[in-house]
Amino acid sequence: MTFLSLLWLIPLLPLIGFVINGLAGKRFMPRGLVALVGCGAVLGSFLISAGAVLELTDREGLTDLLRTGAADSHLRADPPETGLGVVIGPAEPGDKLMVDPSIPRVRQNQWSWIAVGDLTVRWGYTLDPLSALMLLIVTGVGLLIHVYSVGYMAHDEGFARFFAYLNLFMAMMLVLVLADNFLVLFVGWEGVGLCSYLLIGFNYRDMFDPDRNMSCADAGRKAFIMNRIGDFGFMLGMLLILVSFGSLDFVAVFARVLEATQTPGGQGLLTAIALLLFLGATGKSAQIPLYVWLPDAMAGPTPVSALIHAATMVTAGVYMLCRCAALFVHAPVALATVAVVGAATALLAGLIACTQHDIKKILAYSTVSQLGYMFLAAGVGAFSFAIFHVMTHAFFKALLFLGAGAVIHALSGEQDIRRMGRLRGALPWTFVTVFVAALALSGVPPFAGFFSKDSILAAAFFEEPVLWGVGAVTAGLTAFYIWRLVYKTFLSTDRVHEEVRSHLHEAPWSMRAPLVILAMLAAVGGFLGVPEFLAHLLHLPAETLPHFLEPVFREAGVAGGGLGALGHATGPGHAVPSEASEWTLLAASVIIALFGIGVAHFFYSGTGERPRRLAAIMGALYDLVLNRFWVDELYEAAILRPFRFLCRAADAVDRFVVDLAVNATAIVTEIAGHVLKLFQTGAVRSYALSFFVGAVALLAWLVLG
Amino acid sequence: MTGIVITGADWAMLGPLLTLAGAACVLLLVAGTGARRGRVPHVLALAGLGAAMGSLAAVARGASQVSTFGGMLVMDRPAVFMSAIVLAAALLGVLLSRQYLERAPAPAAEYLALLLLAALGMLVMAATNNLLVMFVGLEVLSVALYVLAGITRDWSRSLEAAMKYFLLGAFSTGFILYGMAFLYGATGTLDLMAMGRSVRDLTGAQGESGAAVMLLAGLGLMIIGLAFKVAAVPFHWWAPDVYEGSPTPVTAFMAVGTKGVAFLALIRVVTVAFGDALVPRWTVVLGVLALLSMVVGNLVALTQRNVKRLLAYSSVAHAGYLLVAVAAGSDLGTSALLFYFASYLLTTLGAFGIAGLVAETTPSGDEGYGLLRYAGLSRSHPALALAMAVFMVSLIGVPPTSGFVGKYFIFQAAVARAMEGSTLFLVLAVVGILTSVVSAAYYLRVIVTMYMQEPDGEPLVVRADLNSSVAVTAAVVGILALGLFPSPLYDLTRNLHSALQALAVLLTG
Repeated sequence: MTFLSLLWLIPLLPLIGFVINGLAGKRFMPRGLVALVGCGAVLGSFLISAGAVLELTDREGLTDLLRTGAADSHLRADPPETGLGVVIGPAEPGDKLMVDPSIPRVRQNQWSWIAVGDLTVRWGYTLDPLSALMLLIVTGVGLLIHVYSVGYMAHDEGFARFFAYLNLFMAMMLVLVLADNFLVLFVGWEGVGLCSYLLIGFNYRDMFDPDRNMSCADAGRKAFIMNRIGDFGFMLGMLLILVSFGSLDFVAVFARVLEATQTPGGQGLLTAIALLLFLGATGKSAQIPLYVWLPDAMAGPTPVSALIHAATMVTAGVYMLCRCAALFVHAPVALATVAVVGAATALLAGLIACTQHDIKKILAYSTVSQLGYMFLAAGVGAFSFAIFHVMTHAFFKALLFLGAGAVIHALSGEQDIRRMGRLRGALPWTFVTVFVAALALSGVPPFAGFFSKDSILAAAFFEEPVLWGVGAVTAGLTAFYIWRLVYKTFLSTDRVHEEVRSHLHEAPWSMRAPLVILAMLAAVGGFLGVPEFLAHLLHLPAETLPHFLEPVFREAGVAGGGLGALGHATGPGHAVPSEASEWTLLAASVIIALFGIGVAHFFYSGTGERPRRLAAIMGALYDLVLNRFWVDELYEAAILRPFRFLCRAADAVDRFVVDLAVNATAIVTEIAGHVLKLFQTGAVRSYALSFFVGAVALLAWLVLG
Repeated sequence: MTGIVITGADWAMLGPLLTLAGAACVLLLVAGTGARRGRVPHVLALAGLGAAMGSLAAVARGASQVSTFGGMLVMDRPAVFMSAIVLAAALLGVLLSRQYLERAPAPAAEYLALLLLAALGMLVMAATNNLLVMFVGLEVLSVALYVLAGITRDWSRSLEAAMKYFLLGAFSTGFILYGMAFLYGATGTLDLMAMGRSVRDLTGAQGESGAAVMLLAGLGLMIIGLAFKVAAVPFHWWAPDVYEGSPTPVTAFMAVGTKGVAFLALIRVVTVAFGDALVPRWTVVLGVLALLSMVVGNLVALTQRNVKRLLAYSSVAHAGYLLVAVAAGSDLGTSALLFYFASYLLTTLGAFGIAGLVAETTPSGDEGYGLLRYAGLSRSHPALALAMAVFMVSLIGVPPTSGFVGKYFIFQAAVARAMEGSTLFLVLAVVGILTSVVSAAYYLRVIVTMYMQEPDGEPLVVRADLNSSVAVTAAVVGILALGLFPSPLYDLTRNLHSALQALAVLLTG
């Protein structure tokens, strides 16, 4: 069990990479060495993760470990019912493992972090199927994007800084994924937010959006503030958990949820906790009402958009929600909120994506929309499908971003799809890989997105057909906007500037290789979740991934991960899905996807006259969508401006008092000679007034109240 | 008649105080010689502080007896803990002063002697249960700090700060003294433990009689005076000007030391003298002060463009968080307060230290606190910028820094009270979290400026000598160490509230 005991190294390696590149990278290291350290650290994490996950799935090995380990005081069984009851002393890194082969789950205790009263919060890591899958996604996709960045950032003067931030991000993300309790999760949660913000503002000198007078640094700040609003919810939720369960440990808290539902007021408490946590998730995962930061986060370099704002960090909200499945299944109101917010976000962002012209912004709104799908899945109790979609989305969306990066790279920084076109010949590798990703995103079988999206839609249908309707419409929009992008970028008429076209070049191999690998994953990744009835027909393993994740959600009280068990989470009374209905839904999905692609073909394969006519017909409606429903402006006017005014007012009042105090000081110095005069100056009266009001109020309350 | 017999153990408990006083005297003697500037006074001051720390450690270790001179000097655990904080603040302050004194038109030996005397006053104030001794300590530290604030006489801003600090400080001292007089009038004693007994009798037997009114008036006046000293809203407005004008190392030392001992004095008065009596009254008062400080401090800090003023308002806000811990009036609250101070010591000294170094690059020395001067610092001085970023992140309360752990402790104390059914503490916890979310915006602005803004002209060339580097590095390492491994320090602060209360009960019973 060598790798399992090395869990602690997984976040530590990138952290070391950060320290080396951050301190010595710029001055003392050649670029090659910086890249080697940056990528090597992530490669190390990936290898350890892969090894650990292999060992985790070896159930017999784990049982053996438990048996032989019984003599070894470092190892002990971890029966869920006792939770934290197991006595844990201060530990050396890596020397305490708690094994539960039934899940399977391995928990590693690093040290007891914060101990107050009888509450001890340990710095500990958990490896179970859920974190295992996330671990592989984060380190795997992360590694590919690191390699890609070597080529993409080759000419950037901030090369070492970039890799340092990227490694720091990886370390924080891995802490988040591996966390054993809410507080350690929060460390990662805040950490990735901070890194995301540093990386969005990486090109701080540049204007990001001249129309709105927004610099990259502004975009970074916006992301951070939106995230802080979410964090506020998350922190309050955490506080409520601490208060009501007396622990922050995942296992211990979740073991007591059922008990809590039976206490008076317990239901309301759980709902409040779940809603607060979900508020945190809407910040991190860009859902209504906090989604507006993600499109602006595109100010960051493209690999950052791929890694942080598509594949990993933005899915942290989904991951956290699935991790807390045990809480959410007992808070039906919260769960329904999650589903509705997810569906609404999916639709809204899908609509906006259809009208944007910036290639990265289209992808950003697409990400918001796809994240909406994931929340929809979680909201209808299909947690394993949510995670399945996290995985497939990580593959194809990272690929789309990297492909977009290759296009931008080739076009010397151009991001507007109105000034692209017919790039297929010049960028064959990019074209083919993006083509695959677009197929996957739009849900064309047998590409990855088809399976995950279809599962989610089916789950939504059996829970609430209206949600399916919203999801299906969004699916059509998705197919439309992504093929609009593909047509306008790679096919259709050539609108590239002469000068730019003369410099056109395909990306170097360091960028091409990750594209190819991700394209393969986006093509076949879906086969990890082939629905039962289809698998039976095609003689494929059925629902591999949901089955892998199932024990985690079963423990959480969610009945099963597959379609067959749906609905049990939120109560009985659901029809058991029949094979015929599943076939119907599947057919509908395919038709919708093809229809969306067809519409895109109709509009964008030609000269571009048709979309203009459509926009003219739609008129104000088109403008509304084009301007993102004016949500940014609304927030600015309704929230930010009044808040800034409040701050300035507070400052003005404060200054006023200070000024009075200053005047008074000048006068008080003359007390000796001018005692009488003193009482004639207005300044002193006001000064005395401001002070005595405070003092008198305080005394009056104390003595009389 | 039995005279007071002074044993060796009594002298040992005086050790830290005597050491500081001795070192200050030596420094004053040196001031008369040719070695008044340069290395000699500096080394002397460091040696004095080191010896005081060693002596304090000996007191803490040998603690068979905690009180001496008839209860005038009490070296209990809170006193030892706060004294350690004060000495650490003084040590970091002296380290940061070396560079300052090379340039500033200030006499080094006198400056350092005054700094040690201020620390002496703080130790006296921390280590007593007698109001009169507390007042003596307060005056020693205040007078020394008044002079220190204006020690660079040629810089008008410094002089203005000293003047303001003196006048307003005297004002607040008046309140404290007046409050003490009321308490004495009501109870006939200045000893907090004896006072505790009287308070019980007064409030227990007759309900709220005239004496109780006097008690409350006394308590209220003392709270006002101490709220002045800790710069809590609405008694805070001297702080930004004084913080801005004073020599930066002094500002940092003052912000931590004065605040620390004033908070400890407040805790002693409300727990030892008042015990369980009248708790709802003073809890609400402190809660409201906390609320105002958190809200006003953070909101006004958002508009500041001068780093020193920004830090001043930030310290107003942090006084609010600390007041929540005091108001909680529980073991958790007192532990949280003391731990928070350890963290606050490191972040404040570190942040002001760097502010001082950056300000030095201007010719006049006291004008260089504009936020824009930090533009591009991350490229010209990556290590310095990283350290400043760590301080800011800790002030926001982002894990895994000590600032996060400290806030966690405070909010936990508040929530524990909220669970007992107190709406006030629920509000305090929520507002505390909300305002610390808001506070991220202005701390972040410092990071943004350092990392994402281009300097107007040439990048700054900041010089940091060995002393300053040691101080800043120690602060960064301490913040991360306390953030990741808070337990050893936290364990020292356990059950202090009960211990203080038990003291009063013991005497009462």
